[in-house]
Amino acid sequence: MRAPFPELVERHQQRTYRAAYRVLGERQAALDVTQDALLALHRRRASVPDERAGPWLARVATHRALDLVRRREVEARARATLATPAAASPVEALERAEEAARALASLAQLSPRQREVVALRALEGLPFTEIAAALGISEGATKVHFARGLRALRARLPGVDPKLSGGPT
Amino acid sequence: MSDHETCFEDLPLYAIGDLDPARSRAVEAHLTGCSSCAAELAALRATLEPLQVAAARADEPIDLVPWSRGVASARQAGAWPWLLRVAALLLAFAGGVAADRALAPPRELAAEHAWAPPREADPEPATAPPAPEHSPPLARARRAASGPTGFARGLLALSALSEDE
Repeated sequence: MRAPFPELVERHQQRTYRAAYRVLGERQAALDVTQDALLALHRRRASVPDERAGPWLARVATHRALDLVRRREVEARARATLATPAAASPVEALERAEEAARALASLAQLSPRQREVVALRALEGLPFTEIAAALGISEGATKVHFARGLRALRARLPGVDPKLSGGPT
Repeated sequence: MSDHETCFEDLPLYAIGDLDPARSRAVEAHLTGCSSCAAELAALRATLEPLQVAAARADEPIDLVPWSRGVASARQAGAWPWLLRVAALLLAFAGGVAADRALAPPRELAAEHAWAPPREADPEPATAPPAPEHSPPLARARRAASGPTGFARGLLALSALSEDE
């Protein structure tokens, strides 16, 4: 028996919104992405079981939010407005916000699979078992995508010695 | 694979805290004597750190439940266009039948066409002459009446409606 759509929205809206907001750091853009993801779920009720709806929505919201970042539509706004926790001063908060924006922009440039796995693990905190189920691949393959994605991301960030990204010496 | 290579391969999962305990202990033992793996681990942690800053972002809760009720009821309302299509089909069928009756050629003329022998020297036997731009209304109506039947018009109407989707 499928739950009514409003019930699913009530159950998953905060988590879906958080997934979008973590990437975008901007309320209206994150709200738009959340509505898009929920509408996508509404259209695909037949193929997404209710018990899988949460991870499915987080995945769709993260994917769409990173797509916006990749197209640089929200990067500037996110950099200017995002809330940065645990910063000692406004200057430090701005620096950390800019680092986060750069890291997210680099993340958005990874291959779709690596981007998805790194985002769901490092941003959403989903365990590899749930990511594997959401993507329909094995847990081992998910871990391989994560390791490669993290190394690719590391090679893209400034201040990293490129020699270290080539493998063991 | 050497201890060093194994450790290097394990570092991303170790950095995020997902390496199993036995391999984590092996990584920690190797790290004490390997500066390149220690540097790699530091770089991976530095890569993850800004993502964890983003992960800690939080905003006020949202409430999309009223919006979702609108979406759900719009979906139910979406059944009506199908009823309208069925009604349109029936109307098209009835209209087609009525047009057939109203515009059919007189019975004797129809009979003449039905039994007329083929002409021996038809100048354009394969193609009908193009309709004149301003043909008389009755002629146009008769051409229309010689087209698809009412039922066929209904089917055409349904297919036209389906193409709208």
